[in-house]
Amino acid sequence: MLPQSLVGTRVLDWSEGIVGPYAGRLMAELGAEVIKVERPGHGDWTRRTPPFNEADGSRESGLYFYYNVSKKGVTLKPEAIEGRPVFLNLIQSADVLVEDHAPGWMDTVGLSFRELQKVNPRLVVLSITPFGQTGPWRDYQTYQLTGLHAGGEGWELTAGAERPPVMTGGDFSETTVGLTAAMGVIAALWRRRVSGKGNHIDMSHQEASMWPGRVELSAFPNAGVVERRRVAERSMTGAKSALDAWVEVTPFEQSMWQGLVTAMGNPPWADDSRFEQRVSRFQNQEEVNPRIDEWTSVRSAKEVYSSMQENGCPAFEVMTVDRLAQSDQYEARNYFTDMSGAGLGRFRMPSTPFTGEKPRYKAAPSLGENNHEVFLELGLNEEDLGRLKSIEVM
Amino acid sequence: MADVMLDGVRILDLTFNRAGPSCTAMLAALGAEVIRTESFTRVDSNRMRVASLDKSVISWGTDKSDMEKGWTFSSINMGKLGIQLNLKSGGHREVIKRLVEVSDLVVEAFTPGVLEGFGIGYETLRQWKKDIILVSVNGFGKGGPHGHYRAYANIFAAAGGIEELTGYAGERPMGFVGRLDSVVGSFGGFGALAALMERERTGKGQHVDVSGAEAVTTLLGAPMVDHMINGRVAARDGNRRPDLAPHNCYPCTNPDEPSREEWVSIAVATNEEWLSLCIAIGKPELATDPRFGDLASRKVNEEDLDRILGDWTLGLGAHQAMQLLQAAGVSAMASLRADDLFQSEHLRERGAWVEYEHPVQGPRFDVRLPWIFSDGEGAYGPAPLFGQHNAYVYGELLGMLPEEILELQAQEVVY
Repeated sequence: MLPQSLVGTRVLDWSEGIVGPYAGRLMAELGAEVIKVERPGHGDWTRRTPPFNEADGSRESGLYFYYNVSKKGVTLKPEAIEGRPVFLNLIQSADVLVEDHAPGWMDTVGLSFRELQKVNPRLVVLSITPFGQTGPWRDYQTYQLTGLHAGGEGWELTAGAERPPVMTGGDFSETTVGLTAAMGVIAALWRRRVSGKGNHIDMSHQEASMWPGRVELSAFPNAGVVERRRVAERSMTGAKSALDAWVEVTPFEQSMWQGLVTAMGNPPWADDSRFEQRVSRFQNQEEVNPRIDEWTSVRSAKEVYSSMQENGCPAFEVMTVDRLAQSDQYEARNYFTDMSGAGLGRFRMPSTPFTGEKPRYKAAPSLGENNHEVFLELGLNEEDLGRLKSIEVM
Repeated sequence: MADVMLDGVRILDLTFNRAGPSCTAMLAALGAEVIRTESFTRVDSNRMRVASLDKSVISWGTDKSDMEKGWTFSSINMGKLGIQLNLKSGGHREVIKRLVEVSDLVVEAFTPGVLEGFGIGYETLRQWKKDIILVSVNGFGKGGPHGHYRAYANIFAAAGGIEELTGYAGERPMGFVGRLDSVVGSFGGFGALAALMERERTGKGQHVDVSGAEAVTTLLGAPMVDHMINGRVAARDGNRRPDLAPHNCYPCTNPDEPSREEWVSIAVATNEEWLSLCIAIGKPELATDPRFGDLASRKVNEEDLDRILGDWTLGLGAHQAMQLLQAAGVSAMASLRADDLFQSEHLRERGAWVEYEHPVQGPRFDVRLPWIFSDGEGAYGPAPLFGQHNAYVYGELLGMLPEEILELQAQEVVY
């Protein structure tokens, strides 16, 4: 199962949207106590973002739920005069703070890393921004699309010079950055074992987005190549059509090509000397790809990929979300977990890709759900909470 | 204490190609000592991946004297040590045992069952070292009807659902390559770090096994959740999003280099941003154009919107358009290419490119780790030459005598 390495660790998640909150969820999955800190009366903007339960008409956000599952929730304005001492109290009790405010903002409200370190020298602070804390672009604005183009990911998905680059679907380009964020925190906690000190992690969304593409990006200084993926031209990759779905078939290595040829019933055209080795197949791909297409297009996706895989050639169906929901493979591995949210009703939620026992998830918190529990434990009393609430600091 | 984050951590790396090696490369950059095994019986294909002289074709050579020239290999495997070890020899087991005894972690990305086939599955490793951590990265995870299936980046993408969601409406889905290997490898890296931390707490090792397909599905987010709650089946739709308009990439012309392909991405969510954009591009009349008055109408007239913006961007370079719009508070970003990123003043100032020396390829550049720590550094160095660290690992680390190593070479164990 997922290692429960963060049992006993308290993480404050003072971030919004997808990147920071997903990092918080990952840490909750490792057993951390994650406390989401939200603006009173308002909360994370994703609370108002679809998908909602359309049958029900409730306005509970499935997006907010997904990224904030298993967290506790408090409301607080740490930057307010009355909120600051409460926040510092909370900081003292914590191991990690995740925050995503604009560069410099934390300093202006007296919550710089140095200030936080005074109350908790062992605190790890992860600061997430689009372009980092420093540099001429630090104040540039991004949404998901523009963030994707900042890190070189957008350029990769060009489908030919005449068509605009197309973005990665879903929340993928942001969740991957959230995963990177969580890794940085664990690395800092690892070092803390020996150093005894906290750490301030400056994570730029742009740099986090560059890292997975670094091989393609470094091709420029190292080989003078500005590489671009030309899907239609690349040998053996690129979806092929089957009767009921698209399929990917990848005879990457020689043995896999031989497997493909066997799966296709050893057609005579495959004996052509031009197709013998990978390099020449690549050069003659306009001849190879259509032949494979011809074969796949009269078969079901399952027939294509199962016969390919049986012969040692990587292949699979291009899965739609409904096919994923019905997947026998995911069923066998208990990948979807039964959850229910007050307004969402019961639904099956993707858990984690780690084999074994899944975390026992708790519903994402309603706004301020754990105010009493968390703040009373810090030493405030009901009167304090009432007063802070009345001035909208809590 | 050394200044690297993973000081003192030693990792045995049995991976090939890109997904597994991406995981271990990050751990190496964090400062772990990563020992990578290779053999003449299976040379990593990326060792021989080179570009043609005119840079138009990237392909795989077959000449083994070219094994040190592949810049793809050199980037993927930066910072690692390299030894020869033939996992098909039978004699490898005793060597692996000795390596495991001095390692914290083993990383592998074979199809499930292959490691056991080599006689070095988790149960065996655990007998050799009780608290060993094994990290396995594979296509579909252990178990289930597809547990034994083989996968690469584009297979993870297809099986996990991201390929279906990417591309133009009604057209062939967009395939994924290298980057996706790294993303899946990152889940392995996450598991590795988590397992190291847990061993501190409990004294126990474990087997961390990651399914690449499930990793992708986990990262989809909204469309998967929408289906589970509402039954909706999301379809790819180019650069369109229901909550933003304009939201697309527009063609630009670099005045200094008109033949250079350039695009600028623009994303507008609010009416305020739309107003700012209209003024910034010198077309304030658009702000009162009823076709574009609010998000709903901008969505209805999105084709007109894209055409108007595209006409404007065509007259400017991508960086020019971006700077102009950013100055007005509009989210615009040139579609940055490798050369843009390497030459970026912003990234230079942040030290985002690192440089080191490769014994054959000379000065190499690569991307710095995606974090700047106030305490602790990364570690960057060349990928290993084939068998480069045989003497260090076998001789120094394992204490073998020269005769022992020669014998292993004669038996094609160190091969």
